[in-house]
Amino acid sequence: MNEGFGPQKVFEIFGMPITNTVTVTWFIMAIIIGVSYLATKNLKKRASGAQIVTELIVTAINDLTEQTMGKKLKAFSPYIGTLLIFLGIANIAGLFGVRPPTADVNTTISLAIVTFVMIHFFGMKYNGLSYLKGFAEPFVLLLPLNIMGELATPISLGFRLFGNIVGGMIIMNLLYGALANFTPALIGIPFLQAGIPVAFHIYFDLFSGVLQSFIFAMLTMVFISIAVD
Amino acid sequence: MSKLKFKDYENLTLISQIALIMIIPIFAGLFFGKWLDEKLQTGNIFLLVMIILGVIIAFLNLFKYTMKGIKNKNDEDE
Repeated sequence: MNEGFGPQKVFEIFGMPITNTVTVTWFIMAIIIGVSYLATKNLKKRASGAQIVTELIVTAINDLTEQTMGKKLKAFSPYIGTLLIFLGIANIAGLFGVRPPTADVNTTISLAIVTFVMIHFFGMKYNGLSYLKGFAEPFVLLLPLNIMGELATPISLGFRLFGNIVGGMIIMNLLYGALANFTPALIGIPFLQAGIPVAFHIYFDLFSGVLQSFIFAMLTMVFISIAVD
Repeated sequence: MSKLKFKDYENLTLISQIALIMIIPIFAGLFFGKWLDEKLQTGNIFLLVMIILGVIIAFLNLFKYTMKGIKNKNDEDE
C-alpha cells in the first residue's frame, strides 16, 4: 500500500516492510517511556512540580477504573491508563504532521483483539466453567449464534476507532489540497491555509481523537467487567 | 478533590456501541453468504440464510446490552 491514504513503507528490516504506522508508534512509545521515566525519577513525599501533574493523572485513571469496573477490578488501571495515554497521543498525532498510527486498521484491530482476549480470559478466570455456560443462554441452540455475536465486539471496537481517525485524516488532507489550489487562484497568496484548518483540526484531531480513545478504554472496561460479573 | 462521576459516561459509550453491534453481524452475514453462494454456485440461498442469521445475532446482541442496562439501573436503585 504505497498509494492514496494508506500507510507508506519507510524502510525494510530483513525483507519485512516497516510502514510509517510502525515508526510513529515507536516514536510514541519512546515519548511515553521517556516521560514516565522523568516523571517518576525523584519522587518525594511532599509532591511538587511535575510530580503533582503525574499524581493527578494517575489518580484520575485510578478513579475512572474503580468507578467503571468496581473495587474488585481496580488492578486493571495500569492497562487502562496505558491504553488511554497511547491512544490519546496516537489519535492527536495528526496535529504534529505525522500519520496517526490509529489510521491503520492493523493497529486498531490488534488493540481490539487484545481487549477481546482479555474479556474472555478474565471471564473464565473469575467465573470458571459457568462463564462458558453463559454462551448457551437463554437456550443451547443459540450457542453458535452467541459465539458469532461475540465476534462483533473486536470488529466494532477496531473499526470504530479506525474509521473515525482515518475519516478525519482524509478530510484534513482533502481540505489542505483544496485550499492549496484555491487560494493562489484567488489573490496569488496562499493565506487561507493559515486559519481555516485550525477549526477542523480541533474537531477531527483533538475532540474526535480524545473522545475515541476514551470510548475505546471505556468499552474495554465495560466489556471486561460484564464478563467478570 | 471531588471525584469525577465517570460512571455516567458508561451508558453513553454503550449507546454509541449499539448501532455497531447490530450492523456488523448483518453485514458479515451478507458478505459471507454472498461468498458461499459464489463458491458453491447456489444462487442466493446462502445469502438469504446468512442475512437472517445476522439479524438474529444482531437482536441477540441487543438483548444482551439491554439486560446489562437493566442490571445497571437495578444496581443504582438498590
